[in-house]
Amino acid sequence: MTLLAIDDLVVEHRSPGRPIVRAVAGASLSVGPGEVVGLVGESGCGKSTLARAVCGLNPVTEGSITFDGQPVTPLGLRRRKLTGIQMVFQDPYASLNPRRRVGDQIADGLRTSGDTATAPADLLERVGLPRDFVSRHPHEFSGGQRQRIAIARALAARPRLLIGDEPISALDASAQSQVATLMRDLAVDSGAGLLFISHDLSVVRLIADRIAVMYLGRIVEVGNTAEVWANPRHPYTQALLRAIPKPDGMGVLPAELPGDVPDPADPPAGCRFNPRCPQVMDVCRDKEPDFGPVACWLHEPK
Amino acid sequence: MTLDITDLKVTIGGKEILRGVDLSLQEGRVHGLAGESGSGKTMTGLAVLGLLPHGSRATGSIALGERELLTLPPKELNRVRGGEVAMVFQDPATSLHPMLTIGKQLTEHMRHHLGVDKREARRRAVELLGKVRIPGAEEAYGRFPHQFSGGMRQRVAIAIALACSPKVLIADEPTTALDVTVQAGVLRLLRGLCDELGLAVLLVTHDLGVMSAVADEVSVMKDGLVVETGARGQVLREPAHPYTRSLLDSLPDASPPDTEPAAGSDPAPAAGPVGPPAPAPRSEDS
Repeated sequence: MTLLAIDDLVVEHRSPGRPIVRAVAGASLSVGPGEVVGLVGESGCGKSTLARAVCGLNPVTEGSITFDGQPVTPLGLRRRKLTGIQMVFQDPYASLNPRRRVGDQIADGLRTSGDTATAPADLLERVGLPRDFVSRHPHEFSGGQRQRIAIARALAARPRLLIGDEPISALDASAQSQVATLMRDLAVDSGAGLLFISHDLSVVRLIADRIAVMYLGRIVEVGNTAEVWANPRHPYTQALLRAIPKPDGMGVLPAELPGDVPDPADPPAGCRFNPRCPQVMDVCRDKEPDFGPVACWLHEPK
Repeated sequence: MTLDITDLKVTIGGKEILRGVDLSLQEGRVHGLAGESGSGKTMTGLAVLGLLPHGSRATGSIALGERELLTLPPKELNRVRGGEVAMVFQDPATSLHPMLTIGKQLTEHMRHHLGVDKREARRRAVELLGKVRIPGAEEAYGRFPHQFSGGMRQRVAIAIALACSPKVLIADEPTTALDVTVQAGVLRLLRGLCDELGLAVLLVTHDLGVMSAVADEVSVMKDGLVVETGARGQVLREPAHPYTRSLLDSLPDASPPDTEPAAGSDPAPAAGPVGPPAPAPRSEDS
């Protein structure tokens, strides 16, 4: 039983005087309860737009997003019934209200879920902060602590799906894997699914059960984390993994992927990766591979 | 020209940030500076350029060739800064001026430091843009930072730093804000320029993978002190200091031998409690 099903999702950004940008161009993905899915890709590939669409923050152009069998509606000004999806944003310096005590902000989440038994301090404890921090303001905390508070606030609403949109990229290196592991543990313990978005592959590898690789609005490869890591099949995934420098002290410069990400307003014909692909074939320039789990003509399902 | 930092101490508001840092940069070599956030890596870089925050006091010595930078009068320091010692910052989105074309940002200090005329400055700028491999250097000259991607912007920032042919380049987390694929390109570029122009580079980064890819020597900092200095291969493969070992063990990729990071319980190797390390071995192992 899947918790979240994204089917052939298309999200377009329209702005006056500019061509329409297809940030997400036909992406399909599912997240099960208690499952951690990592979504990786370069900046500008549409992974944040996908996350925002799942939360109802961006209108869907085509395709569907269903949560527990119910379609996800855009978030408006009315009170929302759907509180099962909660999001942790990238920048904890911007996502917390600087003028309210953190306890009050966590209490908002508790009120949404109608939870009267839990105190905000209990949630702080769960994310590894002292109970008496409830009466403090966000400026009194470091980046890592703020992100923990943001996680506590999201968890207060008892979500069944937690979404992290680059929740660790604004943090110091030493706090990154701690916060990522914390998110995983809390989500899995409460039986919620976690969609974790990051451009940092080494952290995703640490916490995700499944990994989805996105390129220019499409998901090019999905698979079990260990398998993808050990045996990446899509040339783009291979290039991504090869580009990570290894701390082996050998002084090997990482492999470079030539070219830049093409403009999503004007994607190349055929496979979107073909201008940069080292193994490009004739078919790649004509036809877009629209199959999974590896969207590449080299791995066409028979 | 070499840059020697000896016993550098920095205090801000009575709090000691650096407690005696010794580093030595050589021509054509990349010196990596690793450590957790708050260990004083960035402060070391800023101290070299005299960019420390207000109210801070620096003692010790930073010698660029024969000159002592810490006691240099402001006017002379201005000549060094941007001219002989240049810096690349972490975030190219904020280190470039959003309302000036990159051509303007590339030529302004060139004209100031080198006293070249407009046409010559432009010629050099276009050449530099080519050198950092910006496609279409002529057209790029008149564009604004927002018209470039993150990786391209960082290349522009590097070009600006190199414009006055500095002897020393300080790169503070130059690839942290970039994607891995773009990072690979920028690292290759840095390494190439270092070899080609004989720059002395101080690479400040927390990423030991990046360190391993480009640095010749590696220093590890903790709480305002350099705890270990040595050749790249030696520091990253056979760390002498327990702190370096714990940094390496905490990487997700840490290979099997010690599964637990084992805080504090390391059988401390004979050498190396905290203290100024012996002069770094200058041998290269690759």
